[in-house]
Amino acid sequence: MSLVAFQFALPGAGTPTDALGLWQPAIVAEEISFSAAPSADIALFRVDLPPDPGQAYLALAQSSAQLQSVEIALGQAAPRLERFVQGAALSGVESVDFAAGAPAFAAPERELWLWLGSATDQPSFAPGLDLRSVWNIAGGQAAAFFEQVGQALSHFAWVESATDGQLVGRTTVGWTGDQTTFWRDPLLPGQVANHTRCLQLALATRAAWLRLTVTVAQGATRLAALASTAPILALPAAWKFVQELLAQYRNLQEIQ
Amino acid sequence: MPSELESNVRNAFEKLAKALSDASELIVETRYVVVESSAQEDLDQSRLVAKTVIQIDGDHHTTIPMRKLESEQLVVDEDLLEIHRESVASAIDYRMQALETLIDLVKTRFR
Repeated sequence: MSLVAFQFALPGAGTPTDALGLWQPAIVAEEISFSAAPSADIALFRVDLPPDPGQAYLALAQSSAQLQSVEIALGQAAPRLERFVQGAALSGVESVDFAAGAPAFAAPERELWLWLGSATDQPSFAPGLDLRSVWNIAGGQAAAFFEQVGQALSHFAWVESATDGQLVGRTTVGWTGDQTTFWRDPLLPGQVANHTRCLQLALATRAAWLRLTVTVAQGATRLAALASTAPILALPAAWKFVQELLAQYRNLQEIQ
Repeated sequence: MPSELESNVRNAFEKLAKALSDASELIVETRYVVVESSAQEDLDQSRLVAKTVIQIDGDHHTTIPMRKLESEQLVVDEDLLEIHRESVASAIDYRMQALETLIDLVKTRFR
């Protein structure tokens, strides 16, 4: 077991993925050994922290920073997509001629241009790349994520924090915010604050998933108008664009 | 946006909206369990130490943790109460965030 683990599970719903890159999938039956095993009606978030208070603090601070960078990236996604659509539309009148060459876009807008070009059935576009299969993969990822968000939203949040594998606290949060928190006794200094931060991380993650969903959905709507010959590919295109933006911000955070 | 995906997410939002509109109160409980050994503890045996109920009309009541001194005098267990206060603040914050999210979604053109 690693020293620090941020795990997420939707019992009874297969292996989930966190599109934000913060939480790793947990197999409930194997990984969660506490009593009162979670039912199928919860979204489980579990953080296992190292016993060293400094390391625990650092792990939580890094995760909080990562989530903040996600929020910044999501805030950028919608206006950047809008600028892309406006810039691309300027290059055509009735419909965009992607093969005519991209306006001066920055990455990941350049890649989005390439992708949308592949949707227009212009065979000379991006030779050597099997973009169709990439479309399918991105579309599958988006569909799986949307379904997961729907499930996570309609389930109780079940947030556990542990130190070195031993449960410290558990909070269940209903749809309306009703909370019940279980604490072990005795508690060590800092464990209450750490659990509270784990709870904040879990709920902020759920909110960020929602925001990602809305951002991709809105972006897909705008791109569908642009790529009118293949509107069904707008969703994977918007998904891919936002994912690349998130990756950029993640890389930026790692450099810092 | 394909209709199947849209309806999936929309249904989830509607569930959340209905739950929020039906909720006339916010309940926060704090419980604890004494750990006797390093073995797995049974949280179902936990004891309630504090509970706060906040009603939508602004009324609220809180059951606070007390402990008895050797002199038999009862005093507030400030440590547990502080833990409970953290939970209440977190619950209120969550409720507000959920409402704000729904308001944002209302503003969103989802088609």
